[in-house]
Amino acid sequence: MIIMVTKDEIELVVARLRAMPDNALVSAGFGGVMNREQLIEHVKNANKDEVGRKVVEAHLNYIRSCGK
Amino acid sequence: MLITLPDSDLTTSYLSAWSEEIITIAEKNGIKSIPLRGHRATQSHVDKTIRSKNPSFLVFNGHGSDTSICGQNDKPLITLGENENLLDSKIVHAVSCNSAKKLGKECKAKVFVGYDSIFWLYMDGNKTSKPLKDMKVKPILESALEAPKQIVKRKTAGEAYEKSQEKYQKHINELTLSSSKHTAEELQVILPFLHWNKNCQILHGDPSARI
Repeated sequence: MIIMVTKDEIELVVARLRAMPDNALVSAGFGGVMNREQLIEHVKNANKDEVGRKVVEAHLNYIRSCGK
Repeated sequence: MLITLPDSDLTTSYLSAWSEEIITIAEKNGIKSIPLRGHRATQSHVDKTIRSKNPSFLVFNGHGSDTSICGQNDKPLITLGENENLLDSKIVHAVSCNSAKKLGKECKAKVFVGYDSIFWLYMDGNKTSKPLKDMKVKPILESALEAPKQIVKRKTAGEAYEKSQEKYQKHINELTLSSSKHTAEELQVILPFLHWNKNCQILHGDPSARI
């Protein structure tokens, strides 16, 4: 079952990703290597983009783990 | 030990560069290595090497899917339903997205340590020509590659998996508990990916298996 990502969750993750420097790169396997702006674009489309959805999941899982 | 070291893109170049140390540690522990570097990281070379040399430990670096592990130029080396029998009775370690999900679970390896979702890398774009100098990627790759390093030190697969999980947690703790020493970048971007990789690392099979 795919859980829809909310607008607030997307905004939260985008805000966190803005901390990435210009020269940082993220590899998502077959999803390719992305810079900050490309990663943010994926996240903005998280409900129809697998990589974007996984980035949101990674951030939300981590944030929730901090509260445990 | 057979180890694949493709280098056809940035991701595989990083994985392979950081994996060279596994060979050094293996040799120190009396384990002969058969590295398949670059254009030799192909299905035909993997097939031929496994059949002729019968290595007990297989280390794969590369892209992957639920049902496959890839080599140079993303060409499949092992595919579920086609040649997964090459993994039969082997100790297998794969840094390869998703491949532990079905392939690792359904193959007949003695033990399979790998990842059941995306394996993230976080890299410094100014260091891509010298991956070993890239300290941004260090927490992720040092943690992941702790498992095969422990296996070539003749630890059991279960011990190797636990050591790798501990290394992930050590890096997570270092970044989290001494937050004042780290940038927002490290705290807000690297940590979620490190945490994700830790949780997606799994072991299928016999944890008591060892070389």
